[in-house]
Amino acid sequence: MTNDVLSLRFVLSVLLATPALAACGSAFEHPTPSGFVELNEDSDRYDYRATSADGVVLSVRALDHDPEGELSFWSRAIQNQLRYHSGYALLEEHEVESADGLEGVQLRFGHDQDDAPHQYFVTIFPTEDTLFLLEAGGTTEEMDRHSGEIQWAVENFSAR
Amino acid sequence: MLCVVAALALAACSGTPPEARTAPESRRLAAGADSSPVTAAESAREPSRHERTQLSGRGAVADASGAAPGEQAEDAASTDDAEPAGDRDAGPLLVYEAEVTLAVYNVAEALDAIEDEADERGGYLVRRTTEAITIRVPAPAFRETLAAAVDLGDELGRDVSVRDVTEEFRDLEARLDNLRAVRQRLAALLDRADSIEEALQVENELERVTGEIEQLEGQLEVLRELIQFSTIRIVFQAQPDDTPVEDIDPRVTLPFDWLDDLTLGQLLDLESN
Repeated sequence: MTNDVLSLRFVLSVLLATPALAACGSAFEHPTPSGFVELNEDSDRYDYRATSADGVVLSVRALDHDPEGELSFWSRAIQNQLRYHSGYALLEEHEVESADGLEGVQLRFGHDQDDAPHQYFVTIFPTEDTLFLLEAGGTTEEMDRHSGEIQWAVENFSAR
Repeated sequence: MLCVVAALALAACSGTPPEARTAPESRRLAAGADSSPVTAAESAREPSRHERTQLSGRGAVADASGAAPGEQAEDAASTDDAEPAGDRDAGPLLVYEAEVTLAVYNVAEALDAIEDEADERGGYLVRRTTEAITIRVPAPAFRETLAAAVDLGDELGRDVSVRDVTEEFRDLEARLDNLRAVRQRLAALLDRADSIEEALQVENELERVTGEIEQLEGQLEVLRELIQFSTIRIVFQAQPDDTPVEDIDPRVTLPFDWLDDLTLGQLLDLESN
């Protein structure tokens, strides 16, 4: 066996092992949509964050689901927090489903920031152990422009 | 014959109202404009598309008891007992439009409420997006619908405009009358044509005049509906940042720290973790 063949095998094994190792570190899969770049950051708050060139940001938080609550409880809790404590307006509420069949709710809020209208989507996917929060935010104009990619990311999310 | 056709063509192009002619001629032309003679005034009394929809579909139309934007508008715009838009003796014909910006906490509920307001008053939905809605209501219900909409949230801005379209409307009516008279005379000429060439020329002119009549009728119909139905657009905005948080119902504070981290500012701040 020549050195070239050995080198090729090594490279191939590394290439195959890398995604598997990376996946071991998180309890979910969140594909990055076209037009976004995943941020490799060491964050206490976010388990995943990606941004578009125009500043629309996507994120995932995987929280311990303790105490355990129903989807309706968390939906209400987040609505109350954002509406009554933070001054956001609830624009829409949609039922959503992840790629692996988790039932969730997407709350769409409006908020003025830096004198510009912004939108902030919070999608909740509860499992027995983990409460997944998928956030998306940006100016209303950019959120409208990227609405397809945002929904694609939510629909292709899966917990593992 | 050809000279007569040319003269009629010129007459059709001019906006000279039939009132400018002698009274007997005007009456004669109006009486026999076409096989189914309809004067402009009679045409104006025909129900509009939306009126027909409401009359057949909903039964009720404008709430004539509601506060009207103006006496003339009420006359012009009421779809039941008042004078219809386009009556030659009516007062000014006015088009009412309003745009209001409101801050509400639940936009979806507010959008539904405004759509219901339009339905209840005999109006209809024109456009609805996630943050704005445009409705049209009978002109007499304009003010009360606007007031009901404003009650749904905090008013951040209001723009109400009134456009007097009397002259535009009367001019369209006059041009229509004139063209109908020309069409009637062309039809008579066609009957008396001596040759195929003459008949073809008259027919061409007849076709052109008929096309213009249909175009003007369409314009008149649009204008009539604008007079009869006022347009209200409501744009919703989130509560502005300067709304003191303590003034908003604080409700209960839950013991989950991560709830406090749920903010747009946090999400969009890419420089901090």
